[in-house]
Amino acid sequence: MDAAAARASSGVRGVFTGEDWKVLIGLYLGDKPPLARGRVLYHGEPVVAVVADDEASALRALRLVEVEYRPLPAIATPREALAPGAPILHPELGSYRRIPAILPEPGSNVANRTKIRKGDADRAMAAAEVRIRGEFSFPPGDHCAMEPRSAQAEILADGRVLVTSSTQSPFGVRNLLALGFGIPQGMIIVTAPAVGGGFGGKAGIQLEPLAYLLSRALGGRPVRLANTRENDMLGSPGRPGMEARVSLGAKRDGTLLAADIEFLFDSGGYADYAVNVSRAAGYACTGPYRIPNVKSDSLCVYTNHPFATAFRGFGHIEMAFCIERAMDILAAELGMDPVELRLKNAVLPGDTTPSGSRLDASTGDLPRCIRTVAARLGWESAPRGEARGDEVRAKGISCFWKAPAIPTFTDAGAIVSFNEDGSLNVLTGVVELGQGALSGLAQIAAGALGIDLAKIHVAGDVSTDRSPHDWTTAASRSLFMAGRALLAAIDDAKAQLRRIASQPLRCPEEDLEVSGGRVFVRDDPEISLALEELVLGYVYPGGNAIGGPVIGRGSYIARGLSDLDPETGSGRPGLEWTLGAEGVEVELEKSTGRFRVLRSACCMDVGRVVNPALARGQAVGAMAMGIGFATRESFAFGPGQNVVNGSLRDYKLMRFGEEPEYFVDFLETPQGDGPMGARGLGEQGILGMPGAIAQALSRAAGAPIRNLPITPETLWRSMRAGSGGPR
Amino acid sequence: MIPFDIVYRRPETVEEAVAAWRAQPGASIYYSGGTEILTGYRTGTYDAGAVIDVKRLPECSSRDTRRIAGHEALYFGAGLSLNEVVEDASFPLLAASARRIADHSVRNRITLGGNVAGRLPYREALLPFLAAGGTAHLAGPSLEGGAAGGVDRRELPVRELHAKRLLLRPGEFLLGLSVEAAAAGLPFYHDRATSGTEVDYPILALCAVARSGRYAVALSGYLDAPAWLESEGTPPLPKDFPEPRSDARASRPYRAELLRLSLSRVEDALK
Repeated sequence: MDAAAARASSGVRGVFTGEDWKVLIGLYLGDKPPLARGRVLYHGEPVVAVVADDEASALRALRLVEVEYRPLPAIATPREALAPGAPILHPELGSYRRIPAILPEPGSNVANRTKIRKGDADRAMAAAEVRIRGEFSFPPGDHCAMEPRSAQAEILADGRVLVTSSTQSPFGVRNLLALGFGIPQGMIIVTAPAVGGGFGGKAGIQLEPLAYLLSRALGGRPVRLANTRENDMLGSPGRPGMEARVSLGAKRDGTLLAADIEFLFDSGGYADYAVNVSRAAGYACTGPYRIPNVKSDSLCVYTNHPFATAFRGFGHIEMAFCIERAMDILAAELGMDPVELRLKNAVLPGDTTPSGSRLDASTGDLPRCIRTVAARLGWESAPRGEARGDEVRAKGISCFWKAPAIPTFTDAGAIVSFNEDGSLNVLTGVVELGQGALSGLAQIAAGALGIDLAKIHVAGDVSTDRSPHDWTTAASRSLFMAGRALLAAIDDAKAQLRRIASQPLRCPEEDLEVSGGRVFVRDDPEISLALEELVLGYVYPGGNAIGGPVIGRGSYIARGLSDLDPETGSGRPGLEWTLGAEGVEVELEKSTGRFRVLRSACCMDVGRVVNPALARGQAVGAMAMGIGFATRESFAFGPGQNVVNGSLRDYKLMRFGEEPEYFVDFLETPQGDGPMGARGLGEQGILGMPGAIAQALSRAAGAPIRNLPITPETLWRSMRAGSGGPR
Repeated sequence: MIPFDIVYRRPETVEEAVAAWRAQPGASIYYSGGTEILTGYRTGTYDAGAVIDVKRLPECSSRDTRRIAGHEALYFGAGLSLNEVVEDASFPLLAASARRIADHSVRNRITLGGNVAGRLPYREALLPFLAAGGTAHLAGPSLEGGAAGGVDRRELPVRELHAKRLLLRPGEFLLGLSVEAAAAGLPFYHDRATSGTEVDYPILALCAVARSGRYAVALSGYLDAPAWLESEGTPPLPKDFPEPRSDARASRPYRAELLRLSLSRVEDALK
């Protein structure tokens, strides 16, 4: 690399490469240098950073850097990475800092292996009357959140480090910076303003350590790193790809007996969140089906692709596509309707998950979800579709489940305070990403306090020095956990209000109620005081005052979660399972393979709908993203594993004109420990779409689809090959 | 962002435009809608220090009917936006072809001339003129007279002017395109396929017209550049017609099949 011209360019403060710092940073596995050192592991990996007085000077200098690359053999797939003799991408894997839940295999390209051993899968499989096997795959891709990532760092003279980042995890960023650079936690202040979409892509860490290092190298001056769209797609992490093998064993009547599953996640050059994605897919590996005997290995594998982090669905979308396709192969083998096969095996309260965790009374009503979707699509009337000349229509249905993949000690906090007019301020650690969490929290507060929504003010920015701790805004858990913490904080504030009011009202605290903006005597509501007379302390006529500002605090921590046993995978990793079903109707032009999704339906059991419009918005947005996932949103690679569609000119997303008709139904089997009975619903709508679309198009084309993305040409090819019936 | 300053010139006349180019030959590029040039500046594929915006020159913004070589002809200025061309509708095949380029918001910026004379290989707005037999109207520095020389204008059939890129002389630019009024009103067939989503470059775009028993077909997205062919009777694909390109959007056999299907529909469509 020759950076001499860049260093001499006007306005430039410094030019830095991987050789400038020996540190490794990572989320669960410390495997990544801030800039590539000696070799790049993927197309798009940053190799040089130029800091200048303004963006134009930096860009001008950057274009003067000469880099010469010598191509090395590139690993294209997880299977290639596991083959004997494959290059080992991380020879130092054994020495990387890691959390105990992640199990890398040094000397190989395996960054994590999560094993599930439930019952005796080998024996049950051998004894099964019907056995099927399928192999499935799809390439990695990108989140394409509307806002590209950005991070700014500054070091004050007193040593405090100020970081502002488009992050879903301000506390995670603070902790990793503290750990990586030996800075006391309280000396780091990370601020997350409202973020322009995350979808998991901003849950890990990437730009922040580099911004800090650049600032440190320049005497603490503020340094901002802001991705271009292209850098965001290739340089920063995307979502993992997958190669999978699924075998199912069943009775002739369709009752599932055994599953033997191998998931190989394509994590690209570094692991980031993908190690935990593979772990989540492991403990959820069967999908929402009752299977007594399960053997599963879910691996996170290094390849020479852009590296992967969390993505909406977190292992469950990848898992669901493979399992749902396997269920379709089984249905065809049995000559059974796909809806019937799913109804027969759908999990119910009392069943156990692959990790042996029992599904309790809060388990959603999956059979009713399946029936609702089938009814929305008119499944009975034309289950196998209908042909009209060159065009054929067909339907597909699939199920899904998801539990948040979170540490066992995942927490949330809330602090409430009042203004003089009796309105409420709410502080949580939840980052607003467009998901509407702040609106949902405001509604919970308004409901709990019995005051108008207009009097609730939820703080927008999260700052680690003043917001209560919150694990990360991810895993569809914000409404659940921060909601619980907020309810506790409001209870705390109510108790304080009752205590203050009990003196002027001359009444025991326990006889007082707080609602409608007043504190009143339960059995004589005329005796009351308005909140504005109490929230900053009560002032008697004559001037004496008591109380002082009411400040409520509440916290929540995940209940009863346990680590997975490394050998059997047994444990309780999932706080709450959201269950559901989805279906689509497609139209295929057989001569060309062109197709459209005409109608789509989603029904999920969310416990309690807090805000119907936001809930539907989340579901529909996720369904659209699922269509994109199935039909276009993935990277394509050239022979050296260079990405050939690394810009939005070539990487296509769903457009408004392509939206199908959406039917969204919610069931409300209450979540016993959820706020007002609610459970997470933000990610789930994406999960079943790829499987449902693949089933419908397989049926329309008369050829089985095993790989994504499904495009007109892939369909045309499979129809020409014409193999094996509508699986 | 564009990390360097660019000189922007908007001349009032063709003479001024040519003089501006001549003042810095090689350092200036003609500019119209700018959608490709501005994005190219951002990513580093363009680095010209000056642009000459020609889209508002009278000859470039005109849409008129004139007599050319004894025939009545429809003239489309190169600076018209694609949406203006679509809404004009006097050349229905051009409207059909142009309305499938990019999306509506972008078509407010993309011009006919930019689409035809820019760097992208698709040039779908050219296909109607290749099929129906149009004329390109050009202006550029006169070959004699050196630095103080005047302006040369020429009119050439687009079929002669086109091979991969427009065969323009140094400093020459497209003023507009014209087509015989009679040809513009011919029955036509337009077909377009993409690899998936509609708003994308074509893997096959096809424009066809029939005139007194002869079929003329123009293609884009199929080879490395637009192509055309003409025949008596049913549209054929000559034995020596080149193999289609193969790229990330579509393979060679898929493109070949799409063309076969499309050609098989031409005759019925034009009856």
